[in-house]
Amino acid sequence: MTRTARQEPVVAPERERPPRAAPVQVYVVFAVLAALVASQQWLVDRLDHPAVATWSTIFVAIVVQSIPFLVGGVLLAAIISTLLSERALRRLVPANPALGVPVAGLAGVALPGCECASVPVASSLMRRGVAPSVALTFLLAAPAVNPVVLVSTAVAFPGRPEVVLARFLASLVTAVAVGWLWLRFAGRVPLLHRQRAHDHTEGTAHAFVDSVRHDFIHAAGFLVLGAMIAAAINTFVPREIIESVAGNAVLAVLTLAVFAFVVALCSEADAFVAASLSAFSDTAKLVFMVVGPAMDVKLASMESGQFGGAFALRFVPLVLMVAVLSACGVGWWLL
Amino acid sequence: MVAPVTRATQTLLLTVTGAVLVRMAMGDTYLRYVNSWMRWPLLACGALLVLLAVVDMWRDEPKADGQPDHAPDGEPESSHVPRAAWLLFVPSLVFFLIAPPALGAHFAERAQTAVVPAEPSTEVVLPELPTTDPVPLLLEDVIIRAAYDGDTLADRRLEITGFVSRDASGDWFVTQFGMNCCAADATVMKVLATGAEAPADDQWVKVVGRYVADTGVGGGTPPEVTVEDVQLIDAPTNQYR
Repeated sequence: MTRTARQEPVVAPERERPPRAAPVQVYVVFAVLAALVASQQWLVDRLDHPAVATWSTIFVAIVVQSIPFLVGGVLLAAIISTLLSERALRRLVPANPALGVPVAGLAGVALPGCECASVPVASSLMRRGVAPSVALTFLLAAPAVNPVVLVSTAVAFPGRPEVVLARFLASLVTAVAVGWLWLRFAGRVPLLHRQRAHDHTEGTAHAFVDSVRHDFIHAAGFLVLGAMIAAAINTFVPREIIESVAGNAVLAVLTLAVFAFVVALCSEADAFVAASLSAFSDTAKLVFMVVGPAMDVKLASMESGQFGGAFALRFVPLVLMVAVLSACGVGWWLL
Repeated sequence: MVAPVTRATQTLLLTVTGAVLVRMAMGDTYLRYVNSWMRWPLLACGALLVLLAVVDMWRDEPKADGQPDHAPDGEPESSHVPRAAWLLFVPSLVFFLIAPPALGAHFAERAQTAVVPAEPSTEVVLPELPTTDPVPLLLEDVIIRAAYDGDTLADRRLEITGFVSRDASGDWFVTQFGMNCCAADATVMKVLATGAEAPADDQWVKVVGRYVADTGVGGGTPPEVTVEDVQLIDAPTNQYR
């Protein structure tokens, strides 16, 4: 057994203490916000351009759509990290990570969630001592193979149950394969965890509220960053450019993989967009549906915020590669 | 260098974000961005964020004599968040300053065309249209019926509703977006309108026209109608399908 089996998350030390917090900041911020809102009429005219309007609509839409799912995720994360006892958790997750990986993959079937919800949940699982590879498998599986996603896929591809099956298998294979690969090869990759001082010194209710608040603010900033990029791609890249490569089998697959990464759609909705990419082969559409929930620009941003840049630099390309290979394999076999 | 977000500013951040969500879902504004079933999740979520902020202020209240009860350097460990947290102000500001409208003509030119959800080669019996004249039809129904050879549309006056969009060559369309989760996944449905001057972009119209035979077959290109009457109308509350 390699030592990677008992990988412990490395606790990154706080790099710096913020300078003594000036209470002034909140007043300054408040004044700036008030000034901006007061000058709204003047600003609206300056910003009145159709491209700006389209970008801001899509940007606000992605954020508004994601926040309830993110809040659901941080609530579940808070339950895991404050209410669930170590013993209960140990009963749920097999002690051997090699076995825990497929269990986590299948557990994803039971938890319908948006991908942004699963980042704080995976983080809280790791904080409670679940092996990172197991938590990461759950992170990949939960948004991809749950019943809501499968039903919406069936609706988007009427009369073609093999597409639903292919999506389920390819996503599950991706999650489990990444988990095992991480377990075998990436045990020493540092995972950033900020310790929370309050967890043991104060009551459960206090710890719960602190956990929700901290996790939400922590993740939401990165969610917004991802949404800004995705909205820009949606607004400024015409779809004809994407359609133009549909004829070439290899290019089509790579293009839709990149497209899924940058547009960052909800896993519940991406099947409909995939179905509308009518010029592409079924395998390329499958790649789109398997890559999207596993990894996109919004997730990459949130994960680098949650677990650190060193982690994201390895994890993001690994997931993309495994997802494309698994979707191509399953697509070649089933579609 | 960007300053770290202090705990007090975080509380402000939660309040503003929560208030914007509640504000959006109290009226009809949220329908510009997401599906109608999102109203209650948004209200609950906004209320929860505001509650988190209030709980925090209330908890710190008794120690508000200038000496916070936290770690000696002024900030408790738990309030350290990445500087990216500042970005959470952006959606609220964009919402207030730009007041983003529902997607319109600008995006209609770029968006993905909605898929016709079946193979035109299969044998499908579409029900006859009601006998009213003109017969009101949803854009998606026109597109689906046209995709199946358009036989059921022949010689009928159709009444269709949507906003005006244009393509590069100057033709105009009666247009509507379909939405599954949020505006990011919107797909466009268009019917080409000929024989009448185009109203302004994004103007909502009710058009009466005759279906032009053999247009839009197979769903690859938009069906065409010869316009008989254009009526300018107000945009509906929910502009998406």
